[in-house]
Amino acid sequence: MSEETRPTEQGYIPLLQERFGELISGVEWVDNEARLTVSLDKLHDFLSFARDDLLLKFPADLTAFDTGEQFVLVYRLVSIEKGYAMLLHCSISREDPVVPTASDLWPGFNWHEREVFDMFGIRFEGHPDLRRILLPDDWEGFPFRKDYVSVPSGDPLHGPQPVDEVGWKP
Amino acid sequence: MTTAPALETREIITQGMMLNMGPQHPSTHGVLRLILTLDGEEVVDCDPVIGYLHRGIEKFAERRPYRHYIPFTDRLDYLCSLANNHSYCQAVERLAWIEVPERAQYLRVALLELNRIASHLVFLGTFGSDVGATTVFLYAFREREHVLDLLEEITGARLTYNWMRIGGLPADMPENWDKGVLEFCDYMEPRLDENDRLLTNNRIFRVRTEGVGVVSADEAVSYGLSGPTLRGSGIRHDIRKFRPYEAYDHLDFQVCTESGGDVFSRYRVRIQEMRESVKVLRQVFEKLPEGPILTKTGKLLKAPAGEAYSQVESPRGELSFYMRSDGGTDPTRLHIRAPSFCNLTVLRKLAIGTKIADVVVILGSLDIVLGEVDR
Amino acid sequence: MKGWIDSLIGGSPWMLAVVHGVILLLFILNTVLLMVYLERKVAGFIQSRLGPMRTGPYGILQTVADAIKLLIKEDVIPTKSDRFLMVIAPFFVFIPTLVIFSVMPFSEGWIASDFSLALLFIIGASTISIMGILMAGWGTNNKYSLLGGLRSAAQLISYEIPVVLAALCIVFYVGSLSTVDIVHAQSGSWRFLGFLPLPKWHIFSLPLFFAALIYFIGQLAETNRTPFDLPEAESELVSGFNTEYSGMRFAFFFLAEFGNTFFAAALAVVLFFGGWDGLQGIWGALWFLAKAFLLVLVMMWVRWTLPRVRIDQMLNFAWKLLVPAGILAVVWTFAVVVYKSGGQG
Repeated sequence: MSEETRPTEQGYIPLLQERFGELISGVEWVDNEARLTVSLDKLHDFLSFARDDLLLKFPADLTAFDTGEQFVLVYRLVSIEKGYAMLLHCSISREDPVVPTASDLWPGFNWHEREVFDMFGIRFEGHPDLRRILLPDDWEGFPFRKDYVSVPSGDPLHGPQPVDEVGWKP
Repeated sequence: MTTAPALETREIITQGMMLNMGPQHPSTHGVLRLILTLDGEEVVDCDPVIGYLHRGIEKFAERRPYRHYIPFTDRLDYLCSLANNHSYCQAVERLAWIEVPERAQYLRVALLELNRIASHLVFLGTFGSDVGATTVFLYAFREREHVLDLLEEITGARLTYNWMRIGGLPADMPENWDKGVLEFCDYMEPRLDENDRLLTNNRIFRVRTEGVGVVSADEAVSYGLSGPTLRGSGIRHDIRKFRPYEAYDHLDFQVCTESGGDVFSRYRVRIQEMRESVKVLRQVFEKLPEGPILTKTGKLLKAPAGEAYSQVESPRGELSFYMRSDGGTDPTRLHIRAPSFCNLTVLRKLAIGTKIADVVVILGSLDIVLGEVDR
Repeated sequence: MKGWIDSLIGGSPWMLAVVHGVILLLFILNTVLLMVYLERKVAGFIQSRLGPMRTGPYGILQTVADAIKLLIKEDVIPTKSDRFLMVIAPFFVFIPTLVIFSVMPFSEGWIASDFSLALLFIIGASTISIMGILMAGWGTNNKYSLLGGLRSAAQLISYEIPVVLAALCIVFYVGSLSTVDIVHAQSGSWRFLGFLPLPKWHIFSLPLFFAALIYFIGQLAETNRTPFDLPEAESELVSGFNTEYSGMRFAFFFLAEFGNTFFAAALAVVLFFGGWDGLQGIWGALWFLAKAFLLVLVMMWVRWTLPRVRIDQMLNFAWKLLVPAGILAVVWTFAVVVYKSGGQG
């Protein structure tokens, strides 16, 4: 990337502040990439803005982590033509983890959302086919949560089982 | 003169045939299950089912110190282990603000490019075999033996190298290894042309691969494709130029792109990339500086709290590790953005409307490794 | 040779047929044995490796070992398959191969049956194997086999026509359907460019050279060899119509395929390369076999070099290219024949 095409000091952050001022926090501009936290309401609008106006068309990554008190979704979006990127956090509650889907904006997030659902139990509203992707369809529990207990005994295919089960079950 | 009676037309109700290209299949490059719904020879729906190789590798990271996790990364994309190792080490280095010495940077580049050549040779062999030209498989693996011999000389292993450490490399290269690599470069260039001629100018191969599995540039970007799959659709995006790392900004190489968007373009991109890798290898040994090979980090590394994101250009695309730490010896969350996982999402769209033979060819051109897809 | 056989038979036509059948069967089995070994060695050398080396010196006993393995294998018939079809399909595929060899002349007088409609018989009998393949594909109750069987049937029926057209050119040229007559018509020699003596093989005549090309490509497809090996495309269908077969039944399919390959080459020698070329007895037969094996080697060479075509491309090629080319060849040959005979045909 040549010097002429590098955007200005704060990049597109002023545009974001202008449009979504109160919804974003923790804004940083590091190495041509914005790192910020967005609140859950208007997440979909924010993502539409990011794709259409900021031209962040490349869906690099979508994952989540568990802080113990809440889940935090992490989106990473890249703009190949503009040369900048965005790393987005969005906190959601543990009790009712429902988020609007981003797969209508970027088809590449389809499987990522399925994986997040598989591992964390976060539901994506509007997803065309939300089912488990990596684990078997009848697995119980969401392994990447911090309170997930993997029971050592029991059939590895069917997840945690009550410990006093005896006998082989298909 | 009577007119012919009106004929009653009825639709013949046919049933789509569900064919399971099961987890065990000569062509699915690993344990991938494709549930195909067929109408004769044409594919009406294609549902990839993955997870047969899921080992919960991401969760393992939460209970292991940083240094102990490196062998796990080998087993992700086992055809380019060094790229995985490197991406992980880069994430930890960014998290813990560790500088890698210059000599290590150049040697890392050499190892990564050798690994790229090895991985693309596997692609060449398996792709040729998918299309029916079995001989190419053996020629490609013959060349690959040379690369594996070189890598074995320096790392001791042929597939899962475990040869990157946080802060550099475990040891310096053996004597005359650079001469071995340069000899290999001289050996490889005419061989690349030979392998190219065997397939690229073959009429049957062209007819099988041109116009098949076309991904437009916009679709490629919105599906999150990366690596040769993306560059085959005309998008000039290579992490080595986008966010240069290691010594890549001091080296001169081209980003190979083709504008066709079809299987043939992706094949051409990979062949050209091998040539570029050979070019890079030569430059590395011209510019290799002296110096230390590893920044010492102590027995048990404690990274400061925060998050880091590493990106490297593995032979399959953008391989990134997202890592979070709370100041302890283990990361609290590690996420692996695997290029094969993202590239595989487009298979469904590409397979619908084509014939079964094409599904195999398209899958071959996406060049996936199930270890990465499933983690 | 004939005298010894005659004494054995004692004049009975049934005994004669049995003796001929046994001799041909033994010949086919041995030829296939040799061809399988040859295929593996040729494949190895083309692919920069050695091929079988351990079973016997230079691996020559490899096919024997394979045959023994197939014989002692458990005969698996899936429960849900159509048992009757599965059991008789291999016979339908193999017996035509055996039967068409009865009109193949190996040398002067060395032919099981000098049938005056030999070519017609060959074409008709070899078509029966298509039924066997369909039976195998359907009867084994396996979707892969079904696909393989259907593809194979489509391919065999489509490529039958160019082969027949090419053979028709020869028939026009020679004026007889008998294989022995065709060989006799190629006796003698001519001078190329006025001084180089060449045998009067049909391949040296321009319209027939064209017909030979069509014949060769058509036969590659008829014998399911790459680039037309879709029915057995290993990377797509595991093994096509013979996926579910094991043991001796699988061996039958295998025998049939290699037998057909050799037959195609031998028929090419008879039609285009002069057959046994005027040499007598055992020498004629050896010369014939040498030429046939050379053609077999060319077929193997093609197989290990080229990739595979897709089904629709293959059918397009047959119907839109080869059939018109075949018709052109026939018309051209007819014109040449009429011209040569001064307008009397």
